[in-house]
Amino acid sequence: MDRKPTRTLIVEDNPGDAFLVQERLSEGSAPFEIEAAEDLATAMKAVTKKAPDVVLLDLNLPDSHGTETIRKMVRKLPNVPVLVLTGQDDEDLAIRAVQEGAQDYLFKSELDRGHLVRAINYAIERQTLLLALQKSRDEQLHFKDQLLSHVSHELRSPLTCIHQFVTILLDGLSGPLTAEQRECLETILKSSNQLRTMINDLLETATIEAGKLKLELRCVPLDDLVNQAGEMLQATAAAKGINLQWSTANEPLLVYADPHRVLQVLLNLLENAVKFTPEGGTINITAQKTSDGASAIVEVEDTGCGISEAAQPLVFEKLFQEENVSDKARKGLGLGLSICKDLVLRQGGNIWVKSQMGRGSTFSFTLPTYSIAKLLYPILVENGQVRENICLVIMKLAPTPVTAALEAWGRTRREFLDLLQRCVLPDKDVILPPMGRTEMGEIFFMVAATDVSGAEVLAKRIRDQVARRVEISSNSVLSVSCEPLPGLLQSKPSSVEERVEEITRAVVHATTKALSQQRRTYE
Amino acid sequence: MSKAKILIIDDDNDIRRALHIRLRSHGYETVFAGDGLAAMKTALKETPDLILLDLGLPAGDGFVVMERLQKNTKLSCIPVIVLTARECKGNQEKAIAAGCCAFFQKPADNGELMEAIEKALRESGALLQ
Repeated sequence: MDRKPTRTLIVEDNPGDAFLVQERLSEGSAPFEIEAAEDLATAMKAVTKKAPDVVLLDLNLPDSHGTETIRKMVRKLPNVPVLVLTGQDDEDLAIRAVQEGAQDYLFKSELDRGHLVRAINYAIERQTLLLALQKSRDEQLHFKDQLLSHVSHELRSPLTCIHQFVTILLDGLSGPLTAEQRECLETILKSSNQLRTMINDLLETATIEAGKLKLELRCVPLDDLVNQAGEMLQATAAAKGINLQWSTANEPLLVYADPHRVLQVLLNLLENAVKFTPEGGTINITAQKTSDGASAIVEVEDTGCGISEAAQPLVFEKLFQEENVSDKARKGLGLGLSICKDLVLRQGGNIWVKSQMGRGSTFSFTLPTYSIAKLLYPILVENGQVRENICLVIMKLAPTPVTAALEAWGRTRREFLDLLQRCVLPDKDVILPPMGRTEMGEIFFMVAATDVSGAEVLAKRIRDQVARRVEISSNSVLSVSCEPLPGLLQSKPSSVEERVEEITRAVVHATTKALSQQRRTYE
Repeated sequence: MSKAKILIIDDDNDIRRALHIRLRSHGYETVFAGDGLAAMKTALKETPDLILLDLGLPAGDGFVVMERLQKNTKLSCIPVIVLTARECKGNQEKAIAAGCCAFFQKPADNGELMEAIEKALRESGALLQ
């Protein structure tokens, strides 16, 4: 019977041992195609050219020692079985090598032909089985993710229908309702909303589990997000007779995070607080810097039913549900807090809870505070080099006298920021967080990877866009100016990090100057 | 003043009907299409003032429809609002880049949707105050 030769790589620095192994393998009928290397570097070069079927590896080589050798080999050839060649006095090391991924170990003193060939064949078989097992597990996991994602999507369509038609009835679009009919419909609506939350949680968990969650970290005014979350849930809290209040520091609290994800965490914690707080209770949200200034901390404090001491360490676990929660607050899937935890940890923060039964709970989470250098880095540096041309675009948005209402101005401001984001979406330019809040309007800063004429084009684009937006153009007056960031070209040769720091300082200087001028103008 | 005409593009008949009832109650006239091809035909025939567009469609999904609309000088200025069961993440930015003026995930909040429709119509000049 013709058998394909087993391609065998022997990595052994002792020529005598290497020769002995080669001799043993060439003795019998089963064919071996043998290649030998005396050190790890040569071995690595050889396997790069053509991967062997099996590797016989001495752990102590001129250029690598101990378990490090097996680690490097397994990393290089994750799918190829490795057998460790060892002396009888070194069995401990050999066992550690097996734990690091070697298939087996052989004593150099016991290398008879039968023993050697059997060990090699078994190692190859085991490796094949292992790979098949891993492949099947990966396929199953992939299938599970697909299923979850598919099912969640498909559930959304009929749910949308239920939501649409119930709201049509509730809004009286198909005729007047009796009080009892209205009550029935409101219950349907409430249940369908719960179902929607569960589907979203399920999809979210599937995304996280599949490692597909993408965070877009940037500089975010955390105080704005707290305000936004508070406003979004105020009506729900008020309807339950709960007093929801929030307070933030006077200065903008800037964090380096994904704004959508932070808002998601805030809303989740708030919804929970509303769910578990009885009528007449209070929910308090605060956001401030930690004492060392490295993080911002948000606390959501409620006067709800509290969490038992036993359950506190478990609330962030997937699928956890407290046993004795009354069904008034109907249980969810038990995924919300585990999603929160994942999102916060992945943004470099931490999350925890303190609670007392019957008194209430305080959920806290932290996020790293933002530094301008961190934000600017991706624009300033291209292919490891600091760019030649960087421009600062300064936009002053002042309310027209008609915009008396603070609320309308807030909306205009948000509209403008949204518009800015769209203007820079195709490029990598960055909008700095709202830093200038004067009585007479707002200054927005943008750092653009372009020269002055490029920045003028950008400025024109922004002005044109504003002119087309009724909401902004009728409520405000916009002025845009551009300036190249000073001192870039004459600076002496320095490292990329130093240059980024230097430009960052220039940005901070220029923005502070613009802000103080603005204040002076109106004082 | 004539009522604004809205083209609803969705492959789910029930959703089209629900949107029709709601839009009718706000005084809008509605026309429908159930797939990407019919969408273009109806848009050309009816020249609506606004388009409500689902992303998952047979015969050319929502992105294809937006691309075709953008290429047609007669239709490119019609505001498009996307209403989809797909994830916001990724799709929203892509849809905005493709030219839609607002993005909603199903089931959308009716108040917010109606507000967005009104705003888009006002900005395009179809709805005079």
